Amino acid sequence: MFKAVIIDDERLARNELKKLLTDFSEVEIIGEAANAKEGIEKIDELNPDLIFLDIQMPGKTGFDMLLEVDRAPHVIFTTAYDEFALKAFEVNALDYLMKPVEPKRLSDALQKLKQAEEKELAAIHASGRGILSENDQVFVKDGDRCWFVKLAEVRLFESVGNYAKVYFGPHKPLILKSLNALEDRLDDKTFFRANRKHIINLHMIDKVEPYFNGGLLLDLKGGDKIEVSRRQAVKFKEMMSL
Amino acid sequence: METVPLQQELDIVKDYLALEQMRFEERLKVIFEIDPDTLNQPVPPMMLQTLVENAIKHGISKQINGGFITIHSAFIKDHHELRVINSGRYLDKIKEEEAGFGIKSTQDRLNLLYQGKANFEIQDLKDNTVQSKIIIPIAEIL
Repeated sequence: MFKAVIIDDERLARNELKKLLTDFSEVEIIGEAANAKEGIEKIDELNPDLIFLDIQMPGKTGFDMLLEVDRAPHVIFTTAYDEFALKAFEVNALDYLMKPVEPKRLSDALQKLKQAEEKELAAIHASGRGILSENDQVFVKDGDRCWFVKLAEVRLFESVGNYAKVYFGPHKPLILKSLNALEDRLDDKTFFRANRKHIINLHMIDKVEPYFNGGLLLDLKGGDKIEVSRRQAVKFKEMMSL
Repeated sequence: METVPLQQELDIVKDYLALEQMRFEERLKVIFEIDPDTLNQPVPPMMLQTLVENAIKHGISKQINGGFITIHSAFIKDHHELRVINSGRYLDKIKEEEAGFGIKSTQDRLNLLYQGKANFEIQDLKDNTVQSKIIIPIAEIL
């Protein structure tokens, strides 16, 4: 069962999609939003597995909205314009549906969603362990060089496009993993998502300072300074206090 | 070039706005301020309609809470004045290169049809409001 939120500025468009989705028992609509701002609120509040996202909306577009969510669910774009089609795939959308939405296309898109989900599950099962503890070692390869790194020695993961830079010792090789995928596999007692671009090792923090806008600035061993976004700073303080 | 009576143009505009009203629901408020004496005045076909479409596309659809469109027709001194007033901003939205095809062609058509005796302008008014105004000569109707 996928919990889904529909984000579209037109009520009739949302209704139409809801009506079409009644034929698909695997999708449950748990919320609706009429613009990007409401959309972000609903995603934070309801934590859906899937969003149907309109692109052209007043204020901010669906693309702009995605840039602002910390942790994006699966995305199926809904749009009246196919010029956006290509861009949809660049931002890693699962699929896009042209309005008016055809039941057949909707069915295909949901099929894709199931496959993507199964793949993710399979990946977690294949690894056998799911969450990695700080004592686990991971294999990292960068060009010709290879490392077997204990996660406890990694002080920072930094997002670089589709890659993540892994900071340990004097090295910082790139691995082909998104920060979101890493976050899912890392133990949240050790690793913390400081902002959109960084996951830090909590045991590697030297100093914590208040920063702009209610954020925090962390000094890591090794000299890196990482900003904690305001939203995450709240979480950080919660986790670190009694 | 042909013209049509304002009444005929307004029928199209009304149908169009009825459709957009279904789409925007409470986010679109439409106000007509039409002097009935102007209904028989000849106007260039689809000109008012183009301005109203622009008002929806660049104005209403960009406002989170929607807005209003007023369609206004009156005799001012010895001219016929058509105005479309809507929520939104003109200047900061439209860059020069994309000063839409609709605006350019409206200007060109008026020049051709009235040889300089017509005028067209778009400007921002206060309170997040844009006004497009067409001024054309009054026609003697037989």
